[in-house]
Amino acid sequence: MNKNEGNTGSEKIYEILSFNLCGRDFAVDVDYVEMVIEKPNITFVPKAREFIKGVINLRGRIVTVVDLTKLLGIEMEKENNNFKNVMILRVGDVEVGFLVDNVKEVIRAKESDIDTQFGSVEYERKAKGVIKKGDKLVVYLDVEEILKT
Amino acid sequence: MNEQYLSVFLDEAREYMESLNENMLKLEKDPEDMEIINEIFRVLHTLKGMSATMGFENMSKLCHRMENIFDDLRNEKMKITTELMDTLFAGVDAMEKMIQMMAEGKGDELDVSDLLNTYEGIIKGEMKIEEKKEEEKLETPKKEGEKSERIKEYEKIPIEIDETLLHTLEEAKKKDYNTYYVKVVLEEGTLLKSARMYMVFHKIEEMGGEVLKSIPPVEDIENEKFEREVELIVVCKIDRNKLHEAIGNISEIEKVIVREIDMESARGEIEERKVETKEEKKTVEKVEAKESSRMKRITQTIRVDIDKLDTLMNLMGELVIARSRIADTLRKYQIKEVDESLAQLSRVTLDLQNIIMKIRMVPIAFVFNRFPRMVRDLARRFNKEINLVITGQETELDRTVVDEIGEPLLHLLRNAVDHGIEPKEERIAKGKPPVGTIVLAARHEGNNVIIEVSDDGRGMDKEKILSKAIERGLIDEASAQNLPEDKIFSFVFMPGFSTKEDVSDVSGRGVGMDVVKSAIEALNGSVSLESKKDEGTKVTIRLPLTLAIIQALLVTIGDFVYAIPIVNIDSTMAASEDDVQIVENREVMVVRGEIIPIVRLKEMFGIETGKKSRNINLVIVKNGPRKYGFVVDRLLGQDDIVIKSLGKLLKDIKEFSGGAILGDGSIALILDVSNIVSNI
Amino acid sequence: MAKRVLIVDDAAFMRMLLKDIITKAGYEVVGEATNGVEAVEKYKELKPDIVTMDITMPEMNGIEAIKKIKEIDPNANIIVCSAMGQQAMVVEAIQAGAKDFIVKPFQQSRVVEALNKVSK
Repeated sequence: MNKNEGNTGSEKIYEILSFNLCGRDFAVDVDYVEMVIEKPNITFVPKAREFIKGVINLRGRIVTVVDLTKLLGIEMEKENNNFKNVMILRVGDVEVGFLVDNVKEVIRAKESDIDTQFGSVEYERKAKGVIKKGDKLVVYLDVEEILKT
Repeated sequence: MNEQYLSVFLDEAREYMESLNENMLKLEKDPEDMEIINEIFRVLHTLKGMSATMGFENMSKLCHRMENIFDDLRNEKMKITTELMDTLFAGVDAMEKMIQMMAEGKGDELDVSDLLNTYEGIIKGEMKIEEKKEEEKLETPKKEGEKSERIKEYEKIPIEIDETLLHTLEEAKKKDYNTYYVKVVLEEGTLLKSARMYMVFHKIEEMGGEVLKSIPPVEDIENEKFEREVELIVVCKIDRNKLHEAIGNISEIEKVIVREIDMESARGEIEERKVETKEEKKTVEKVEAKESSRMKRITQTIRVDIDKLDTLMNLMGELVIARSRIADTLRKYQIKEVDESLAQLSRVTLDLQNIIMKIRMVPIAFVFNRFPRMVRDLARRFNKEINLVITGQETELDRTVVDEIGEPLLHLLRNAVDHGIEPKEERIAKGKPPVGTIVLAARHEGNNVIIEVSDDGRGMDKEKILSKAIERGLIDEASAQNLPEDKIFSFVFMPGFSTKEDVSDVSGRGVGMDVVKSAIEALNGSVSLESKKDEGTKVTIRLPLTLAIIQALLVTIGDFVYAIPIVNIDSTMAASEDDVQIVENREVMVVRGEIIPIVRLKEMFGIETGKKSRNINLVIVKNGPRKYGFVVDRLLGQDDIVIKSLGKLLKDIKEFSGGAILGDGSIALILDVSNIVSNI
Repeated sequence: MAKRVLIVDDAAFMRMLLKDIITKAGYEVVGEATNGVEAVEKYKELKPDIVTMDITMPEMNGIEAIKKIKEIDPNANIIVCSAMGQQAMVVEAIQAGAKDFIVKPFQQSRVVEALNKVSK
């Protein structure tokens, strides 16, 4: 499936929004992002899978909040409960919040900029690849795949 | 005319129409049944008399002719054929339309001369069904040329033109405007009908035309209170062909009829009506005495516009929330007098709410009633023989739910007819009974209403669905291997998923199943599908009995607030850890002589227990005959909550049926008691 | 020559779906935009024959975008893409100058009908 086509020339341009999570850079298709909010009170949901942090009241709607570090298996020295923001995404009829530290910038990447080998190993299918941005590596996440878990 | 008589007449006429429809369907299945024929004859006879008394001559005439046919049938001078049934059904349709017109205060001025002629012919033994009238067929602009002679001819206009309207039309004519009667029919299954109709109005205005009158009125069109047809009186400068073409070019329009209005005959009709009205008045006086006894019955009920009930319901919801907010705020101050009045307010709100809920409950027959006829027509169209079995039509549920469930059910039934039931030959070859069966069943189950649509048709091919799902990338081949059946069938509800290669004009199985699903989910319901190849398909819809406000007890467990629906609660009590006993490795407590299992929600939910107290708060819940003691931290009190879905990502959690947003904006999860105790 | 279409929708999935249908129907998708602002820019740049316009989008919604595009080109052929229950919005869009509307979930036949009708 291809997303984010902005057909200029022969090569596709991907528009992706990068964010910071525990010192690492990740990114998602900008199209999925509805808004970024300050982290509100999160209601814990017992029995939910580990990566689900809980639910929040988003203008009267109940939205699930996901802890990506758990979902992606990022190892951390200690539990991080200090995420500042929640990035709200909508994929089809599913609305979901990702806990993030900071939302950074929109990256326009060409198909050839994406190294599909690296990311797919470490994050299995949850990443589409890795993009080199200056001296940093940005992990380009596959949101649809993530929501299937 | 005195409206009260009319309303009594209409009520009764509608009842008779229902019986007529029902019996006609029965008759078609059992054409030899004299009892049914007699019953129809009797109903037609009564309707004829009623209509004549009210001065509805057209209706009365139609009844009379049909009655004659049934007279011949019961004297065995004639046999029932499918063609005969079709024309008789056309008569019933015309009668229904007339009754509709009467209800709108437009009398029974429907042109049924063709039908009457056909019936006359049938009675005279010319069992020949005429071709449909030419203008009933799709009029494409191209054909317009061939019909140029007809254009000069003025056809009778089905819309009643009153004096003021006629005057306006005459004025327009003087200024070289053309005056047209326009009938627009939308395609079946058109979505957002009123927006589509708006395009017609917009188009007319864009071309400098003006709509002087519409049936139904514009407000009804805006509120989607119309089926597929709208009739308009239009003045404009452009000619008939252009107008026809312009409207016909709008998408999803099945048919457009444009006729010129003949002023003279319209004038004549107005004069005629004036005379008729005078005569009607006389007859009405005559029936007055006869009807007065029935009047008493009628005054005990009143009809209420559903919109008003909806508004009432919305206001109720706001009242409930406002009360919660006030209670929240005032709790801080602990003023005794206020507490009392708040309690009073709560009681009244609750009563009010219950009454509104009850007012809104209607039997599902409201929707089911239209299906036998629809299935019959569809079956005819697809050349299939189908027996529709309906059960549980007395099942009551909220009016809004009833209103919303019609379309999805229609869709499912169409699917069943079109793709489910096989053609006769195919069924015989498979060794199945030649006549297919579709069952539409409704029943109560706890706080839910279950509606099932099942057929004994060809069923769905699991493999095909699966390979399609893989092809679409909805699932990979590896995980498709051991996918449980219900998961496989759930793909059918995905947007745009269809296993049918060539989609028929009525329905493609799968096309629109996602619409069915979202319509039902919008009502807080759920839908599932099971199917066996060559055995049939069953779609099960589960709907909440009423809207999503429930009463709940709010409790805390750990740091968070949870809601337990009041319907599940038997009582609450304070107890001590010392009262807990172990029986067969299980914690129980004896409450009023009953042994009740203890459920420690905190442990079940994996919430860290802080300090342990000897005193515990118990909420005794009931699930069927069984009771359980839920241990909670604190009881906060009772509140009305609005149930909201937790969303797809939390679908796997069976312990909670949803969440509610509390007065302070926080979320309380709602315990699904029956699921929680099911493992105990 | 195939008529040229600009797809405007904030959801990538929807754009993909539409592109698929539109291409199959023999039209050429010349560009895609993810919000109203982008739509107006792309319209100026690409001068497409037909625009499919989603209603609810970030930045600038579909109705505003229709108005803006109509200011640039009063003859623009715009088809509104609406969800169920957006009746009022659709009416507003038509008032703003949209020539037809299609309802999500899209039915291929309806999309094609709309394309054919507005491109006449």
